[in-house]
Amino acid sequence: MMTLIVLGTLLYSQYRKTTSDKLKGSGNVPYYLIALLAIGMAVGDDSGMTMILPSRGLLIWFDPILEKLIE
Amino acid sequence: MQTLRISSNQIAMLTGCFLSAGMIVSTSKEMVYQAGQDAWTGYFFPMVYGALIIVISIWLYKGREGITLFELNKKLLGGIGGSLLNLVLFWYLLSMLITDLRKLAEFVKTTLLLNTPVSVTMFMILLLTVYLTRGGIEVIARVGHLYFFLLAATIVSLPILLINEFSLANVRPVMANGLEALAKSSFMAVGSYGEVIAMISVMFAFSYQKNPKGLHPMLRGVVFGTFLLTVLSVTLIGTVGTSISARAMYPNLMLVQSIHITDFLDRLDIILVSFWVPSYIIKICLNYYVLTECISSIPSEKQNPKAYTIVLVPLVFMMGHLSFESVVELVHFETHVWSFVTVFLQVVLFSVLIVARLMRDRQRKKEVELT
Repeated sequence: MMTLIVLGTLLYSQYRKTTSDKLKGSGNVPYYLIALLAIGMAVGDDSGMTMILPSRGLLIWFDPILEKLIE
Repeated sequence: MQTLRISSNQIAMLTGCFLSAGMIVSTSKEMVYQAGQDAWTGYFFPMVYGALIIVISIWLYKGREGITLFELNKKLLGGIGGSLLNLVLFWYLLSMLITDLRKLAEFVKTTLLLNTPVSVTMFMILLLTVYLTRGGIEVIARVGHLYFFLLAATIVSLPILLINEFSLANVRPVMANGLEALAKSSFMAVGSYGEVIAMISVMFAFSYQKNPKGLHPMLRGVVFGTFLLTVLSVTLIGTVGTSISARAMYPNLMLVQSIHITDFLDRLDIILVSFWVPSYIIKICLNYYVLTECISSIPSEKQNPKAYTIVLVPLVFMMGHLSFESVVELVHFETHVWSFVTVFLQVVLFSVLIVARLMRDRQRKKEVELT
């Protein structure tokens, strides 16, 4: 379901992008990076893919240390 | 191309809304847990921190108004250095956005839509956010202006509405838990105050007045936001007490549920929460807008931010869905990790920018002397 939502949204935005031609030159790089990340997450779900999420990674790495410091 | 402009009052109100709506949901719980009845004093040091980064930004922007922080990064650090810094800011702003989005979705699930899955609520909020963001910064500012009045009115009227439940004994003795508890409590709120960087990123580009007289509107907003949070915190501690406030997931929701004026006004909490939720959505919209501005500034040539509005939806949705397994994780992230990340990132960011600005000024001075 999630993969479908992600792919649907990306296809729609790709369609809008090609019809409006809003992006120029290297502007496409972040666009495709977002697409790749979103599809990777949708397919990978709760596997190692979630570790690349900034918030999840930070939570796993820093929370135990900060918890000890604060308590 | 149409020029977007927002007034000083709107900037002040958006900043106030950004702070008070953002912290209304859950931060107070951890603050009360750490500092007990002194938690209401814990907003002072974060306010000083928020004001400090605004003052530094005013100095950085002097003579360079009319551009966003991301463009300023490129001007001061050059194309590659600026793009790298913008990339770091992109991850920071993205984390901020997904935390807020998930927090609001969890709050709505607890208060209003008990049987709806969090991911569905989150997706709906995201769609609303995209709709508002596509309207531009002026639309966000106008809607924020409108809802901030309602938010401020509900918070200021809480002590009067709860006068029959309020006990001064709950707030006393003042400053009995020592400075260490106060420092820990203040640390919890620093992350949320540091988020004003999102406001700083775009507000200098869209402000009517290049050099507003008196106190800068963003500083006014920080002070007013702190005032509202302090009023809310005193009312919470005085009414609900420290032990329940520290254990409840949403203590401020318990606070509004304690309003018992008459029998027919028993569910006033629904009305108050329906003012709080749109104010929070305004904060999310502003975050989303800043995120599109940021990503459009990463490539060598500045792109149209609107081109990224829809494409960011799947990324934000997936990250919001997968980042936190429960509300407890979310609260821990917001109060422990986020404050640390915010302070670390902003100290590095502003140090780099200050050094770059000083070097540019010196270089310019030398050029003037030579000519």
